[in-house]
Amino acid sequence: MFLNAIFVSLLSALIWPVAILIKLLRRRRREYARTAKRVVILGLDGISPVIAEKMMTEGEMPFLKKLRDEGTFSRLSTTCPGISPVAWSSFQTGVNPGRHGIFDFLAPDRKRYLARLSSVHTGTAPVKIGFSPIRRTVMKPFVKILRKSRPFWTLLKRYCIRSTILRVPITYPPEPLDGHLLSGMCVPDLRGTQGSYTIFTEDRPQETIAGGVWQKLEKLDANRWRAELPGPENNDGYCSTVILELVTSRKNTLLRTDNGQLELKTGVLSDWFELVFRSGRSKVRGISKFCFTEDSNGNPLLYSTALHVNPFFPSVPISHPVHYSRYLAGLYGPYATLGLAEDTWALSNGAVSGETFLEQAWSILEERKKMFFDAMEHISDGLVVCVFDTSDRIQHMFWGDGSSKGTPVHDMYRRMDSLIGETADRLGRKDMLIVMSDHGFTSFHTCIDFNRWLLENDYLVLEKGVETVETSFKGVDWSRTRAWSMGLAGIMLNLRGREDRGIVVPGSESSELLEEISEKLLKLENAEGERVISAVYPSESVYSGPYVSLGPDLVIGTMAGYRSGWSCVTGGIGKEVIYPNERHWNGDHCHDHTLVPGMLASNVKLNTEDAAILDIAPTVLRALGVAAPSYMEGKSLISRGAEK
Amino acid sequence: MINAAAIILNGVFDILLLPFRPFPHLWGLLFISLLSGLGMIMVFRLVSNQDKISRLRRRMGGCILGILLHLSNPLTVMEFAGKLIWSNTVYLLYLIKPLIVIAIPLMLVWGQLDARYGAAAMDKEDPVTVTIFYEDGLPVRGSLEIGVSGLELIPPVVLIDTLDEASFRVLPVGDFHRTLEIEGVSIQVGRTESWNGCRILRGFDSGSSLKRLFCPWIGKADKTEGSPASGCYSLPDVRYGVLGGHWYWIAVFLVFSTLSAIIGAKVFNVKI
Repeated sequence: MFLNAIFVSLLSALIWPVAILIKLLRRRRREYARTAKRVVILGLDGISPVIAEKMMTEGEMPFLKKLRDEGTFSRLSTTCPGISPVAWSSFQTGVNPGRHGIFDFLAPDRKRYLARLSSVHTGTAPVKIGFSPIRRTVMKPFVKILRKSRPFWTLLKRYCIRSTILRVPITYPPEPLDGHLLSGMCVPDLRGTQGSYTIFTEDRPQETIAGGVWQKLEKLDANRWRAELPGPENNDGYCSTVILELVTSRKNTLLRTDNGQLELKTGVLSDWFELVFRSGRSKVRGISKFCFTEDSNGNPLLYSTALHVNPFFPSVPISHPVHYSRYLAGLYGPYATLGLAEDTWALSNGAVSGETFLEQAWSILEERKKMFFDAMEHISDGLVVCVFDTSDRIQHMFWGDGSSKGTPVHDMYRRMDSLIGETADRLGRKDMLIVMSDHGFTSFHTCIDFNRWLLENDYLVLEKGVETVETSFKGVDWSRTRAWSMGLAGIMLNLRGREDRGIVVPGSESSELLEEISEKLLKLENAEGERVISAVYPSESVYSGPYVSLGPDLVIGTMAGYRSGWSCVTGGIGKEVIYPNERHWNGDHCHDHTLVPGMLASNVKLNTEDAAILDIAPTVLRALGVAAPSYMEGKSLISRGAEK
Repeated sequence: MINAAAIILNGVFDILLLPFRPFPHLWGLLFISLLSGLGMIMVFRLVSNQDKISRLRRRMGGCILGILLHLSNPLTVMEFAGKLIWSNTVYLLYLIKPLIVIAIPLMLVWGQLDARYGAAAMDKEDPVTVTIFYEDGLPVRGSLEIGVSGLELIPPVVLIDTLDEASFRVLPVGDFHRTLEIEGVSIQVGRTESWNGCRILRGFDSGSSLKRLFCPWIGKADKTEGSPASGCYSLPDVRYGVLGGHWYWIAVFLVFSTLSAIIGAKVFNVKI
């Protein structure tokens, strides 16, 4: 290592003049004088300006208040719908969803009427390897980002402005830039899912586990159990596994694998533990945290978080350059790499307690802070962006508890305020800080099953004998179905020529049908006779651009408290149109986007009139002296006085 | 006590090398080298703090990557280089404890290998120079009596007053154990038989038995009035043919024990 250090240092010293010279020669002149030496964007996913305003008034968010008093604080219009993948895609590209192609978490597969992930496509493709005459074709896996347009930080490369981008949603797989990027939302776990935890018990649970996997704890003797932890699927379609041995004693509880052992404390989430899955000669390394508890009968219960990609040995590309994730892991230890790292499913299903969930959420927050401050320390001239999504998850899971003192939501807002303070302390005199959220938050107490509503209004028809559809529209008669719903806020027509078995003729028939559905939806009421839909947006009215056809035909804006039903999202049809949401997930933002605006704060006075999330990209570019490209739809918020 | 330890240790190595008697010397040397490397790595695993070493290694890796990632910023490069040097210092501190524990067994093995593979046995064709050292002063010229058994003394006997030492040459005769008798003290001399792993004496000492534990090529001699304190025999070094080169036993030991330690670390997941 010592020799390595000397070698690398000497090499870097030798390369440095050449690298600088090349940069100087290739650098493009900035169009404007920059107003900031460095722009730091602190993204706080889901922070509600309503709660922030209230807490500032109560003196609970002093650092945000300071920004408001000395710089800027305002609401920030979000995208339609106000959902993280959509909003953060618009943030990074400066265009509406019709130009970046992300309309929801899920995108409809119009050929098979199935849901797929909207932002990433993973598949296999033939690749030729070797040289003639022993050249052969093999199938290799690939992963492709489906978000169109360009993130604004990739434009900075031409001006030799370095950026560090941390955990911004929809940046997986990472795209090249001048600097470093760690992917965020949509990075899968080792099983290829968006996060599936594992629960180990001696007896099979009676209910099926959504978002998780059950594995049997096989009792070996009084204090020893054995279990298999399923990992990634290998080429034969089988899961490679790691054998776990759980040993309890008076002193402690140990979890053993071939790769090492981990001491567990009852009810406490462990540190990250490395797991090595072997498939033939290849190894896939993951990390996971464990929590050991006992049920009321004294039976052991072991919980394992989703199998995160090990940042030190990533099996999928999670950073640019590839060794950036290793660099962070080397300096600060292993960290959560999964896109949706906080295990909301486990809390919803009762696999972990609220305390354990919060423990996990706070530890992820701390990990992210270390990375963010590292980036701030090492990028003194350029752009630093970091998104903290713990705020979103905590509000999703604890909104029902309110935001008064002592509640997790209140605690979270306080912690986010401290983060703003710590960030502000690290700023230089010429730095610009932007604190923003992609959307706000409201409650989610009632589900609306749009597919049920479509069924009851004869827009969706089931095959004979079919009464309920659990998922994926199994049993739907497409030859008589005119409209269907999938995702969190969209209704699609079964359009001829677009859908595989479409029957609605494009043109006047489809327009009339859309109008008819919109009118009826707006009249939808709950049992008390209150309207539950505040607005219905035809796609042409809210989207423009080449990818409008990929989105839904109607975007439904629900009232606060109402959201698309759980099964409806993935193509299921429930028994009722309106029914109470009984899950732990009781806060949301998938309502009418005008009800859940985001938040914008800055240490610089900005022109916040009609400020929208699309404006952030042009604003940052302008601050760095770069002209926003013509395709960007937002406007710079830098007030004229600030421009030189 | 120490004598007993020395006898046991010699016995253990004799037994370990017994199966290699019919084979070339190199085989036994390789066997002990590989075994030593493996043993050392297991001791290292037990004694060292593997978690700390693992974390530190990753941190050092992080610093190296930090240099590569921030090449355009010389100050950051220097910062990481400094951190790296500091981490290396900490790493060396982590190594002190296991190195202390490993040091004594390593010295014992080293001595045994030196005794068994360091020098060639006596050859009937080549005379060997015997040098004896006195602590109480050299005997009066002409009064030094040297008796030999199985050896032929080749005069002259050279006395060097200023160094309190005497030298003479001997040539082995016959196929039995050879002894010198100086001032009534019987001293065993090296053998002509040289099976694989045979301990070849290259000197004698009448002093502490601790020395003989760590340097088993030294034979024991009684101390009487007027007898020499110690002595050495000029046996030729041995070289071993490995990969087309002629290696001293030390080179063979260092290379192959290191190799086995590295493989052992990989197989048993030991962080070094």
